[in-house]
Amino acid sequence: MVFSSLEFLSLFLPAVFAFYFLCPVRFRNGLLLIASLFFYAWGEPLYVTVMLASMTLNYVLGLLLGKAQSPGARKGVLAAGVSLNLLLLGVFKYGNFVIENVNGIFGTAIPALKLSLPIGISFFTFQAMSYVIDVYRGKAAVQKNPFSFGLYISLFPQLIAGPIVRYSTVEAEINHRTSDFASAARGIRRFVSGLAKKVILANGVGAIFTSLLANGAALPAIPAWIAALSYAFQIYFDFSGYSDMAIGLGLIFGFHFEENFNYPYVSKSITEFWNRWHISLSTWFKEYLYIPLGGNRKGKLKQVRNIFIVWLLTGLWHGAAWNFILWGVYYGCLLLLEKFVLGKALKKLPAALQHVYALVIVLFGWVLFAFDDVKLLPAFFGSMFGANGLLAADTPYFLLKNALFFVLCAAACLPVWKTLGEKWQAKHESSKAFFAAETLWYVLLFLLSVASLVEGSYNPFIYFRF
Amino acid sequence: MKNKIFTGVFALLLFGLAILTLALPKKTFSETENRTLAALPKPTKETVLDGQFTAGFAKWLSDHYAGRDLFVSVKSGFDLLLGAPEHGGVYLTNKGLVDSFTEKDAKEFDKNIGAVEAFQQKLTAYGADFRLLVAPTGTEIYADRLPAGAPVLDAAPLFDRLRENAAFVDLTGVFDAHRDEDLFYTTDHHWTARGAYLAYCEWMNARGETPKTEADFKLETVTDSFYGTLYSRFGLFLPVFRDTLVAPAPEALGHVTRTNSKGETFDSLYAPETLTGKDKYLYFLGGNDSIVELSTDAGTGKSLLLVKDSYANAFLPYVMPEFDRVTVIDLRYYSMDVVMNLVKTNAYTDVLVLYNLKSFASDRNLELLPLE
Repeated sequence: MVFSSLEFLSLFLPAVFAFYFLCPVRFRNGLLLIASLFFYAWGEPLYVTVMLASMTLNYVLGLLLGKAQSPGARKGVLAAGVSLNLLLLGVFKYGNFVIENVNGIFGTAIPALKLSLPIGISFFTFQAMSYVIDVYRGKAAVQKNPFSFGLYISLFPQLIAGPIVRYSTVEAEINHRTSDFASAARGIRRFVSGLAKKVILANGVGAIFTSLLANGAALPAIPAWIAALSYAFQIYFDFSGYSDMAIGLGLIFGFHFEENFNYPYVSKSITEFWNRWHISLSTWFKEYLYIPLGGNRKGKLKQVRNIFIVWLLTGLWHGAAWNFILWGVYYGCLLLLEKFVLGKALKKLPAALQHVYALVIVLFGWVLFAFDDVKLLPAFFGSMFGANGLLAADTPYFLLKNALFFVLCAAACLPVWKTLGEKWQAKHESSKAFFAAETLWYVLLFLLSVASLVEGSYNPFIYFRF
Repeated sequence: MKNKIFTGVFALLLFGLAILTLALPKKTFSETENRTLAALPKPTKETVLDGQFTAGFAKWLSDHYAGRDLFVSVKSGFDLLLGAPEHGGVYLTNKGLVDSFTEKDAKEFDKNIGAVEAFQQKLTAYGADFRLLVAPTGTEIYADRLPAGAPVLDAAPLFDRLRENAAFVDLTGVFDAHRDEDLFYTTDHHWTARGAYLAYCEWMNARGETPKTEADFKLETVTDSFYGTLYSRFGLFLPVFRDTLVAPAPEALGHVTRTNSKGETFDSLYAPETLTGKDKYLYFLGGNDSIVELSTDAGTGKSLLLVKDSYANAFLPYVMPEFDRVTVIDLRYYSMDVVMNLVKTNAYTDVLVLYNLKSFASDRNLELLPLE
C-alpha cells in the first residue's frame, strides 16, 4: 500500500487510528505491528515473507549478541549478521544485475533469477543492520520482545520509503511513548504537507516529465532542460513528501523520527546538498561505513578511499544499474573536489553564483539518475546542448500551459514559507481568526490532494456510447 | 485546546470520507464518464498473490469514492487556475469547449482514405450514387478561438487529399461562411441541427437534388440542458456553457420505423426515453448501434446505405423524406457481416460514408469497409 492512495487515506488510516487510540496502551505495539504487516502485504502479498524472514533473522541475531560474551563470538555474530542481511539485499536487488554483467563480460548464459524486488527492502535491511550494529556496539539494548522488534522493522510510516530510522533513535519510544494532541496536530500538518507535495506537485511534474520524454531522449534544448528540471522537482517532492508523511504519521503515534530533507535545493555547494538530501542515508553510511573504515582519521589517502567507497555504494544503493553507480561516483568525485581543491575558492564567489553552481551540478546529477538505460545518456546530454535545436513547435504553448505550475514548484523548494509560517504562528498565537485560517489551509490542501487522487482515475470513455 | 480542535477536524474529515464512501449507495454506471464503474473484486488466492485484487480494489474505491464528480471538478479547476485553458484534451475558449486534434489523432487517415476508395471502386459495379462526407469539426472551424500556439494539427492537407476524390462533399467553404452561427455545440463535439442541415444541403446539391428548407423540417427544442462529451472530458462540472438540443420535429419526418440490431422496433427515428440521462445526443437514433434499419413512407423508391460515426445521427432526420429505406452501419460495432454483402444483397440507390474529420483520421475500423 502507499500513502498517496485512497485506500490508505480513507480506509486503512482511519481504521488504524480508531483501533490504536481506542485500545489499551499495552496492545498498541502489537496492533501497529499487525497493521504494518497488513500494509506491507497489501503491496507485497508474496514477499511479505521476505520481510518476516529478515525480522526473524535480525531478532535472533540480537539475542545471540546478547548471549555471546567473548569479543570473538560477538564479532562473529556481527559479521554473520551483516553478511546475511547484505546477502538478502544482494540477491533480491542485485542478483540479476550481477548475472547480466557476468554474462556480458564472460559470454556466459546464466539465466536470470525469477525474483522481483520486494518493496522497501533497501530501507528495512539497512534498518535491520543498524539494529545489529548498534547492539554490538552497546549503543542499544537487545530487544527481547519479538513484537516490539518486529515493529521496529516494519513500522508502516517508514517501511516503504524511509527515512532510515536507526534503532538507537527509536529504541526508547518503541518501549514507551506517549501521544498527545499537540504532537498529533503537528503530525497531521506534516502529513498533509507531505501528501500535497507528493500528490499535487510530484505527480503533476512527473506527468510533464513523462510526456516530454514520450518520444525518446532526442529533444530540443528547452524541452530537454525542462524535462531535467521536472525530474529534479519530481524526485524531491516525491521523496521529501513521503518523508514528511512518515514523520507526520510517526508524530501521531508518538514517534520522533529525524529529518530527512532540509530544503536541499537552496544549497550553495554539493557538500551542503548532501547534508540536506536524504539525510538518513548519508548519516547511515557515515555511521556504519565511513567511520568504521577510518573516516578521516587515517590520513588523506585513506580518507579519499573511504569517501570513494561510500559514494560508490551510495550510488549502488539507489538502484541496480550502471547509471546509479555513475551517479554515486559523480558525487563522490565532486565532494572530493570540493573538499580538497575547490572548497575555499567556491566560498569566495558571490552567493548567487554558488547557488547556480550547486543547482547545475545537481541537475546534471539527476539526468544521470533518471536514465537507467545508460545508452540514452549521450543522446539526452546532446539534447540539452542543442543537438536537436532550441525549441519544438509546441514549446511556447507548453511553457504557457505549465509556467505557473513550475513557479509553484520552485516556490515550494524554499524554506521561506516555513519561517514565515512559524513567525505568524508565534505572532498570532491567540488569534482565533489565524487558527481558523490555518486549519482551513490544511483542510483545503488535504481535500485538493484527495481530489487529485480521485481525478487521476477519471477516465471518460468517449466512443462506446458517444 | 487548539490542538484538540485541529485534530478533531481532521478526524472528522478522515472518518467522514471513509463512512460516506462505504455507506453511500453505489452506482453501476457513470453518466459523466459514460462508462460502467468498476465492481468490487472478489479476493481469491490467485488474485491476491498476483496483485490483481489490490489493483481491482483500488479501482473500485476510486470509482465509487464519495463525491467523485465533485473531486474531479475541484482538481480540474485547480489545474485550470494554474495553466493554459485546456484539460483532458479539451480547450476552453470564450465561446465554448473545443476538442483537440493532434498528429496522434490522424494516424489512420491515409489508411482510411485508401479503404474508402477501395470500397468506392467496388461499388461502381452496383450503380449506386456514392458520396464521401468528412465533416470539419469545431476544432477546424473555430481554430482562431483556441489559445495561441495550441498544438492542433493543420487539417488543410487532409482536406486537400479528400478533395481529390470526386465523391467528396466539401463542407469547409459552407461552414466557414456560416461560422458565426452555432454550427457546433459548446459542450459537445457533435454538430448542431444547423450544422447538420448545412451538411444535408451540400450533400443534396452534390447529388443534383434540391434540399428542403429548414422551415420544412419544423425544428423544435428537444432539451435546453444538454452537457455533452466535451463537458465530460474537460472535467470541470460547472454550467459555464450549456447547450440546447434542437431537432426536426418527428411529424416533419413522416412515418419512420426504426429497427435496431437486437430486432426491436420503434415508430420514431428518435429515442425520447434517453432524455432523462445525461447524454442527450442519444435522442438521435438511441445512440450508436452496429446496424439500424429505418423504413419510411417517403415513397421515393430510393434506399440509402449509410456507413458512419455518430455525426450522422443528427444528419439522419433531414434524410428521412428522401428514402424509403436507410441502413445505418457503425463499423465500430458491426461485426456480424461485411458491408459488401449488404451491398450485394440490397439494391441501394445511394451510399454515403459520413464521418467527422477526427474520427475519420483515427478510426481503426474503416479498413473493414472494402472487405468481401
